[in-house]
Amino acid sequence: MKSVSARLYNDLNRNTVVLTSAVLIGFYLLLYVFQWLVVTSRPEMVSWSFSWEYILNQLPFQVLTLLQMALFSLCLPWLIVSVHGEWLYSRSASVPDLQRRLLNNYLRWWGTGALLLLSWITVVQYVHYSSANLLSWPVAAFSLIISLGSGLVLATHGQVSRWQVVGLVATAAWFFIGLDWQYGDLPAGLWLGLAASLIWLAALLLKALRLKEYQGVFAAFGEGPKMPANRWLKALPQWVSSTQLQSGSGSVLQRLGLLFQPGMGLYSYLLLVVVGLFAMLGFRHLLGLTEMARYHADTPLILSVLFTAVMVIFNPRYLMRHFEEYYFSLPIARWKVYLSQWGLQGLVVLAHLPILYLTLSTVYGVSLQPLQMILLAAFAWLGGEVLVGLTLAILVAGKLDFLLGCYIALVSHSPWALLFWGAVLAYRCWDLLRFCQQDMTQSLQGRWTRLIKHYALPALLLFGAGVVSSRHLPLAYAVGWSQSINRENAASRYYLALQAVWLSISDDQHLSAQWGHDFEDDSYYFDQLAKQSLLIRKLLQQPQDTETVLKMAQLQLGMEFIDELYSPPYLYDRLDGSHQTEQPIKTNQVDMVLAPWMAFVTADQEPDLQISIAAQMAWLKGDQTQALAIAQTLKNPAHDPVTALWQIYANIHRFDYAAAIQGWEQLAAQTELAHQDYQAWINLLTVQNQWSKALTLAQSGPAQASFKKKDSFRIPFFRAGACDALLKAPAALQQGYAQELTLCQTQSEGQPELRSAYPADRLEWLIRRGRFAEALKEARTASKYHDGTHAWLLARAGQSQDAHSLAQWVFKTDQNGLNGQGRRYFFHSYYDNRSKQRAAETLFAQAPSLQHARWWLLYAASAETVLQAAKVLSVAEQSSLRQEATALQSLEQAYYGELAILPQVRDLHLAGILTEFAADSQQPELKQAGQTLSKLLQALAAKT
Amino acid sequence: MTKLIQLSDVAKRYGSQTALSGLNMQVPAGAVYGLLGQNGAGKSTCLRLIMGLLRADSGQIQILGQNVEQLSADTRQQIGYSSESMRFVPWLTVAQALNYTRSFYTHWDSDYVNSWLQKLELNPRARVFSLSRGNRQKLGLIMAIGHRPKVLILDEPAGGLDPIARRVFLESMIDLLHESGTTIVISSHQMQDLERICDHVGLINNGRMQAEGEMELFKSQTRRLRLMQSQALPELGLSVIHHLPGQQSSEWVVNNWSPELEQRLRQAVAAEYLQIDALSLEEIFVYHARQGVTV
Repeated sequence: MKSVSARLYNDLNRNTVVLTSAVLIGFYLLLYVFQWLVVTSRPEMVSWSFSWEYILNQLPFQVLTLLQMALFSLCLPWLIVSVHGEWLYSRSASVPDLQRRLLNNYLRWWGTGALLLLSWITVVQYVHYSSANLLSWPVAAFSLIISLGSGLVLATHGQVSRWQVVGLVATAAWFFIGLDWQYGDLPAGLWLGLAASLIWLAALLLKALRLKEYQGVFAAFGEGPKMPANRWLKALPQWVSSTQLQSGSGSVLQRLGLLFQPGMGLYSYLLLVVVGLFAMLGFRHLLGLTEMARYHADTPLILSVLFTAVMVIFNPRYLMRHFEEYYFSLPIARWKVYLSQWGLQGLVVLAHLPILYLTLSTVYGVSLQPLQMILLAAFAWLGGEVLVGLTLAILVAGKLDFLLGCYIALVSHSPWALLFWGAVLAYRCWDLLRFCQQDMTQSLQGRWTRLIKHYALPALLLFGAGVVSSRHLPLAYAVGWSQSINRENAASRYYLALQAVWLSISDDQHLSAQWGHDFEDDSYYFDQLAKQSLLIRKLLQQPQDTETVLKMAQLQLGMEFIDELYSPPYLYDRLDGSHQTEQPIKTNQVDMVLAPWMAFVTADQEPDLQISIAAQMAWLKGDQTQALAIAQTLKNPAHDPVTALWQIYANIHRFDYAAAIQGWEQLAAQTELAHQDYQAWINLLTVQNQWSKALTLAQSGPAQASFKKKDSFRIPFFRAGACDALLKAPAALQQGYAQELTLCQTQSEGQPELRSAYPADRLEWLIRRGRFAEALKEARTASKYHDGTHAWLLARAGQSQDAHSLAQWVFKTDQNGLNGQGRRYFFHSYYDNRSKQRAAETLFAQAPSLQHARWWLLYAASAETVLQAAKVLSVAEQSSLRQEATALQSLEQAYYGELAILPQVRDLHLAGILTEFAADSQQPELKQAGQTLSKLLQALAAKT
Repeated sequence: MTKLIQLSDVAKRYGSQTALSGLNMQVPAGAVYGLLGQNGAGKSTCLRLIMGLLRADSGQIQILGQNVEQLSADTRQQIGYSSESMRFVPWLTVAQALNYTRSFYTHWDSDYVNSWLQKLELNPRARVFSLSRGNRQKLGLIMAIGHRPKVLILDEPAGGLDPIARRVFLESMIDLLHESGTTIVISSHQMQDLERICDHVGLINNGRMQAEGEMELFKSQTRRLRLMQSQALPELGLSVIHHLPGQQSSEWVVNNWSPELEQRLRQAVAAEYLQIDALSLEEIFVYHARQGVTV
């Protein structure tokens, strides 16, 4: 007896240690996931300036999320206990005693977490945070009840309790009604939720009590309970006898059900929780009762990973093979045994489908139709543990996009998708055949060997099917068609194609979040996603429907390219880092998704729209010149705003600003834009027109090599002070200026919001309002690109010496930097340009010279400044023309030392600018000076 | 006599290891057939092949007149099986496990099962996981006989039973045999038990059937001969399975003993130099096993 007790005690200790470790691991894992969620769901914290106020403002929500995660993580050890039950049973460990111990531990953890959560919610009700609306009692109740209920249900597998049923009903009622039902100051859902929690808690306590009594009887009998001591023990599970099994229970179905029952006892409650929880979430989402499912889309993701991991590790079908000697000796055919175990496994696998549905719809905006869900269910059932295993492997590898692509491709009507089906069907048949013919094996080595042999072939088969079918998957038709990826092997093509599919769905969210959109409140964003989902569904049904293809490409590109096209300052910035990393992906997206889609479209089908799309595709691939060249082939007046915009920019590219302005006017008329609103747009174009006329002249000579055409159309509303026009513009036009709109909205909302704005914008905002003292303070902490502005502000503040030194430093460091990098022989960015212009202006004001004037002109950012600089320069030139021209040549040589065609380039450039402005100038002396200088410089260029 | 179980030239390999090689076995109807053999000789493999738990690499296996790989459901209803290594669903009680097993059989004798529960003192409310090894074996035996099978196959059924339970079980099994004519194949290391209950015996050695036959015949054909003072064994056609030479006396074990041979031997060797001993089943097993080792 002693030895039995000692073994029991050792088992208990070992198991307790294992499970305690599981708790800790679970907590660490979820804390890690939480960190990841914080970073990914709050990208503005990273991309925007670091603000303590912002962080403090978000802190309550972060803490709430942390507590929720902690509570959910409590389910983890119970999952392990639940599925590990057989292992415990088989070693004759005292499961009731183990449960009792764990029950105490669970209550301790849960109680602490619940107390913290409720306290926190209570406290923040009395503290004013602008984001305090994120903290709600119903959400807290949700966390408490689900964690408690899940823990209890999972802990009591195989044991039916009426209290649990009551708790489930109360939970469901609360879930459907309570959350949205406000009564008085507090939502009624709070009371319902608390009531449900109390019911769960009572069930938990009763369970503990019962276990305690059971344990007492257990101890009294030493080795095991022999007779029930009280009515609680009589209520212990009698599920087999309750079915009143009779000898030789007749039909095949009854036999299958019979075989099903032992496994059911172990997994039914796990299944109940999984299906119940996610079905409720799914229904809520479908019914549109709340946005909670959308906001908490991370929760199903995490839980799906946990449940999937458990299912794979403890595959029910293989667990039952411990008893195969018993089952095989029964008078029942093996295929029936197989079907029953497969059925059990299938139910567990199917429990993941609500998770999949919810994840697809809430996180990725892809809504599957009922028929498609049924297809997925059938596929999951067929694939079984192989599919779940692969899914988990993909999830662990972080390739969720791959998974999503697979699921979408699977439910398509493509004949090649049948290859997937054929593969899993073949596997299932093969599995059945092996099961019926294989030997019973009891050794661990034998089991593992058989397992490896068993799964090697289907894994290869599925992988092979994936690779082969990737050439023809309806959403990845691109594979094999794209020249850019022909060099890749089949597996890479498969992955890239699906990645492209994924990108086409998810990248908008990424971009939107990256630029600080609060997409949770952005109806435009979700409208676009909804449209996209609709089009994807149509494409799945009719992959070669050209109209849908065009719409899809149009929508895709419209969401993708406009942000970049209309935000040149950001475009310049992105040349440095992030854009370079995204470029290959965008290129793949164009080559593998958009280009193949467009291949379905015939030439006579909406040719202008095709041209517009082609231009946008070229733009996405980074070839702006090609994009504009394509856009110039547009002939007819465009009907849609995007094509109209491309026509306008094609005209700008041709320097036909009159046509561009006309295009704007037509677009404004189409969109019923008021004259006073679009006048600012026209003014901006006029500025562009003036500036570009000078550039046209410059490009007529050898200077063209040093100019990029994209310099010719920059419409920085915010920087140009044209925010009023943009804010008053109709939504159709505003959509194209998402980032400028954000900046303008930030500006209009007042100073406090500027703290979270881009530092350069903040600085410019202050200067524009004449708050130079504050601007100077801001400039001190700005980056080196604002040193010129800093110097300018110092000069305004009377610190001439510092201003002069800093301004000189700007050009000194700039030359060094430019010579080293080579790409910045034109303007680096708007602000960099403006900063240098101000540095040059500062230097000129303090020590006028041709060189300073030249710099000033070179970096002048607007027509007004150009004229002013040119005037000064022309005066300076008149005084000592030849010497200064020589000096200018030397300067250019030093500045563009790496380019062979210089110094002629700059000379001609300057000549062109001055000639143009001289011609436009109403001042005779300026006109004369310009003509003179131009002739001189042209002569100088011809000579050299 | 009708043969209910027949194995012809059966071979079975586990990877590179040969478990059975050209095994032949015949179990007559109504027999209690004891399968003897050393550890690893192939007894369990043989019984699992008969039950269809394993598939033979070659050879023919027939049970109740049918190929074991194509047994009908009705035929399987007439077979019972219990093994020392068999595992049952651990979270069920004994009663639940029996009830569960019962549901697979068309003819289940609950009274018979209950009587056995009482005889073997097995608590029907105890959970399977809480049962000792011996009690689990008792449960397995009851499960195997609850439907009163025509053929009962028992692989080391009494290994974990205490002597009293073993005696009760084995004696009752004889009752069962008498009552219903069940054919029983049993493998065990308990030679005394087998000697008491079996009427047929088969001895497996190194995957082959070394000796097989009726228990009495088997025993009557085996004798130990001892000749004194270095007398040589006459050439009488005796099949020697063991020989131990010595200074004072030499020893032979033969397995084709018959009254005629005894008469001829006594004529050839003077009575004071000859000693003839009958052997117990255990002694026969040991000599056969030694022969197998030496071979």
